[in-house]
This record gives sequence, structure tokens and C-alpha cells, in this order.
Amino acid sequence: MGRHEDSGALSESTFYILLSLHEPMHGYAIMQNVQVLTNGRITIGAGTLYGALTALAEKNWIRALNEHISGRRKEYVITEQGKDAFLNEVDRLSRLIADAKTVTRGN
Amino acid sequence: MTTSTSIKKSFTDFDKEQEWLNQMSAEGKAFISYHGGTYIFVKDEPSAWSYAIEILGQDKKKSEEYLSFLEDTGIETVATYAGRAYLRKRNDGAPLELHSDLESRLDQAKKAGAIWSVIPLTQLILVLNLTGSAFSDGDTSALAKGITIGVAIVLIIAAAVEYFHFGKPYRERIKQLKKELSIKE
Repeated sequence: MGRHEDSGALSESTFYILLSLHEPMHGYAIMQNVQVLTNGRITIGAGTLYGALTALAEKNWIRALNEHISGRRKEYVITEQGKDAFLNEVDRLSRLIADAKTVTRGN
Repeated sequence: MTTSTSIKKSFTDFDKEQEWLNQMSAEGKAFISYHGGTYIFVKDEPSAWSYAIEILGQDKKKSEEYLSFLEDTGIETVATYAGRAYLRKRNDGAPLELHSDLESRLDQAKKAGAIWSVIPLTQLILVLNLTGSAFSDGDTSALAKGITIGVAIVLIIAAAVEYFHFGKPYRERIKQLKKELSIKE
């Protein structure tokens, strides 16, 4: 996610992963949830998802819930810090939409 | 008893290898095991499985965690060999794509292509060491020097073929992905 550091933009996958994790979910459930949320527009590959979950957990934007219970799929949930970051992104996206509408209004 | 077929084959491009495994699956031959250039197939429904090859990192524990994560999402590990994993899932109409965004695709292409830089570089270092020791030592016979030069030439040609020919499809893929990444994610 290095190149996003300056702009603060989240990738589309990260955006939908964070949105999904407003409720606790394991990896496979996230993949299915994103497909449902986006009407099949976005499919997150398992490899991409794993990389994103690892990076988000390192950043403390999400945390694992049942890390020490063996034999169970690991569930994740968004943290307060993650919620803040997510809201900032939603704000930023609204500004993009507003800017686009200012210029293209009437077209 | 199920009859199995074993096929010996070698690839320099993981994409081609993956394509071949999927093509075999489409013909009703499901890939179930790999060891040192030998692929084992069993009879199955045509296109029962979709295959993908993933380049793993050096960290063994992380690779295991990753593969067990994949298993939870319905992706089986068929075999792991020399830093790569052969994966499959039940065919649900879509190919097995582990990397859905450009950034992680670029990362995989770089990891996969690295082999055709690492091996030639190792060979060139070997050439330097060989010729260095043969020619710095005054007692080396003309025959030994001749053999050293012969070996060095073979190694240099091999390194050049690996880097320029085998590495080319990866460099092109990386270039293409970088171009796309400069305008979208």
C-alpha cells in the first residue's frame, strides 16, 4: 500500500474489506460479502485478501478475534483506528464526487 | 482402482505451466502430484478443477499460514516444490485467480521472474571465481586454463539465455502491469 501513503487513498479491495469488517468475519466470508455488496462487480482473490488482512492487522486497523483457538477459522473485526481511517476515506471520496459534479454539471 | 498418468515436462514460464495444467484438467486429467519435473494426473470429470501456481516467500512458517488460509477459502494445495505451490479449487466457472488487484499481481510477477535473474547472477559469480583462481595461480597448467575458459564460456552462454530469453516474458508482464498501475489500481 506504499504508494497510497501520500494521497491516503485506499485500494478498492481494502475499502470493501474494511467495510465488511464492521461485523466480525473470517476470510472466506469477506470474499463472499464483498461479492454480494458489489453485486458481483468485485471479486477479491484469496491471495490479495491475505496480503491486505496481514497489512491491515499490522497497521492496527483490524484485529484478529480468535487467534489462539486452534482449528477455527480466524475472524477479524475493524478497530476504532480502522473506523477513523475508513470514515476519512468516505469523506475523501465524497469530495471527489463533488469536484466531478462541479465540472461536469449539466453534461 | 484409479489409473494415473505421469508426464515428465519442464517449463521456464509459470504462466505457461499453469495454462497447461488447466488444459489437462479440461481434458479430464486432474493434476494431483508433482516432484522434480514429473506431473501425476488422474482421470476426473473434464474441467473439474481450476489450477494456479503461486510463488511463496522464503519464510516457511508464513507460507504454511498462507496455504492454510487458502484452504479455508476452498483452495487446496496439490504440491509445494522449490518455493512454489501448486493450488487448485473446484471449478465454479471462474479461473482460480489469487490476485485480484494490479499491485499484488505485480508483486507475484516480480517474485516469479526473479529466478531468471538470481540463477544467471550466481553463474556469473561462479565464472569470476573460477577464472580468478585459475589465472592468479602461476602453477596452473595450460590444459587446466583451457578447461576453465571452456566452462566459463558455457556458463556465460547459459546465463545469457536464462536472463534474456527465459526472463523476457516476465519483464514484459512487469512492464505492462507497471504501466497500468500508473493510471489505476
